[in-house]
Amino acid sequence: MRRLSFIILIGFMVVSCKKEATFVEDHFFVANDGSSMPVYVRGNLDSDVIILFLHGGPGGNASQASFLPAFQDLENSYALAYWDQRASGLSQGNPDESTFTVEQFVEDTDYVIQALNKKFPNKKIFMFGHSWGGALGSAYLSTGNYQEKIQGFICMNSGHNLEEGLPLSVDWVESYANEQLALDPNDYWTEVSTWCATNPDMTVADNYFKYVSYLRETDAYRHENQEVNTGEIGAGDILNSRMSLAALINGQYLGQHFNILKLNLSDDMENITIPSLVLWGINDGVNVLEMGHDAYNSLGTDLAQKELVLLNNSAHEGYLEEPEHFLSSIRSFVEDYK
Amino acid sequence: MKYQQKIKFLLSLVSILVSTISIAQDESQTDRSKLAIKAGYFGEFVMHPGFYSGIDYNLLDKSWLDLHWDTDLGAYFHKWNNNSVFVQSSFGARFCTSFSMYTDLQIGIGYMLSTPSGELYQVDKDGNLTEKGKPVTSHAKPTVSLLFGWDGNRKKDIPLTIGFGLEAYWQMGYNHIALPHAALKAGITYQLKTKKS
Repeated sequence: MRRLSFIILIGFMVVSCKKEATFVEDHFFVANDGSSMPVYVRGNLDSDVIILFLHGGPGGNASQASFLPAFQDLENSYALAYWDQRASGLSQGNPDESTFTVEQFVEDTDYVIQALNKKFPNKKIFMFGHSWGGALGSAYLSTGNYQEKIQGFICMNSGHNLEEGLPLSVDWVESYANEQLALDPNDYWTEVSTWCATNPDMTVADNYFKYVSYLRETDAYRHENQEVNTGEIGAGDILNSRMSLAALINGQYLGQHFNILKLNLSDDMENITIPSLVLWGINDGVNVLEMGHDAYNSLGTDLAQKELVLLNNSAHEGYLEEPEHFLSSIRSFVEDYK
Repeated sequence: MKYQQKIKFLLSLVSILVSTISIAQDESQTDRSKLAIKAGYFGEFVMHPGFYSGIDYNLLDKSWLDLHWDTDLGAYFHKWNNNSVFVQSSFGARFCTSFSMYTDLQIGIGYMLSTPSGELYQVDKDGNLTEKGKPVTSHAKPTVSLLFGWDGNRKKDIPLTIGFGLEAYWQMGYNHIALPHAALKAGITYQLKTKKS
């Protein structure tokens, strides 16, 4: 009887010692052509899935994304790799301006993926690009055989075709200005509406910067300027190197000197055949909804393996505006194709 | 500038610092030398620690004001970010008050070398990813410091000065911008004695 009790006890202990998910928190740099770029990996590595996040900009950063509640929630299911691109975020060095090209960023992306494979062998890597990051992901996956290294592509409100997308965004700003004028006529929105109506050449940098100054006065980024939970960055995070002042001011130079105004990857995206999820906030004034349909239609992926998910209460930042819909869409996609 | 050239340049600056000490010691013919040596903590908060050491050469010594020229050599360590070494030279005005207390305002220029802190994969000449070596970036380092402290030389025959305060500096040539920093500086200065003539 004592022996039986002992066996039952051992059996109970084995069952109750269910393996806890491995929450990894790791960090490394990838140095290439004058830039040392940090990659911060956090999340559930037991899933065997790493989602490489390609941040927006150019000149944004991935470091801050690691503090957003939706991203932290996603870390419970998968490991996320937050990479700050060259001359952005917490990347270091002083890369030559001649390296500010799409080709160079694609090359950097491949080295980051090589490093992830070296450090975490046999994991399935998904690519998740937002805004400029969506364009970078599209450029990467449509180059050579690079897509063979990636399990699936999540393309969110991407700027993959600014050549056609920017004039549409100018039209969006004009509509917004006219709505404001209907509510309360004033000089500022009159100026905006008049300027947009001239159909400015959006491949000219000065026009682009003027447009951006107008765009920031609209709700192009966040639908109806709704309140969202952006998470908290505590003093401890700054002291402990997860965040630094550099991430907030770095990228300014790149943003001014990396000209992607003529970027049009729509034709190239036909080369992308891996499973893809196009995720789009329908109220986005930056990369308007037409470009979401363009991304979906341009992808060469079989219809059965690509999906367009629309976030009806979101503009450019769906992960903040509709985090639950954002999370369920990504989880469903990754589970289907991991 | 290649890594070895950068190291040579830094060593040259250190040589100048050492030479300055020798010259200053030769020139001083009084009991109280114009020269002092110093060391202390230099770091961005507590989690990014570092240190400095150097010399403080007195240019003018009045009852209410000291003018001094300093040269420091230091380093700091910022986990998951960068490790840096620097050499810098600054001109300072130390305003002395009662009870031997002082306020010291300094302005200077330095040179620093920084390298990423932590694991690193580097692309070699053949385009392969390797874990060997780390890139080093050189930066100019303009500085402004505001220090507060106590000067034992003033009313008591104690050859020590204790001070603390903040140093603002800019890491120039960082992704084409001048990245601002703020560092805590706290240290002690020892006034050298010289041979009587």
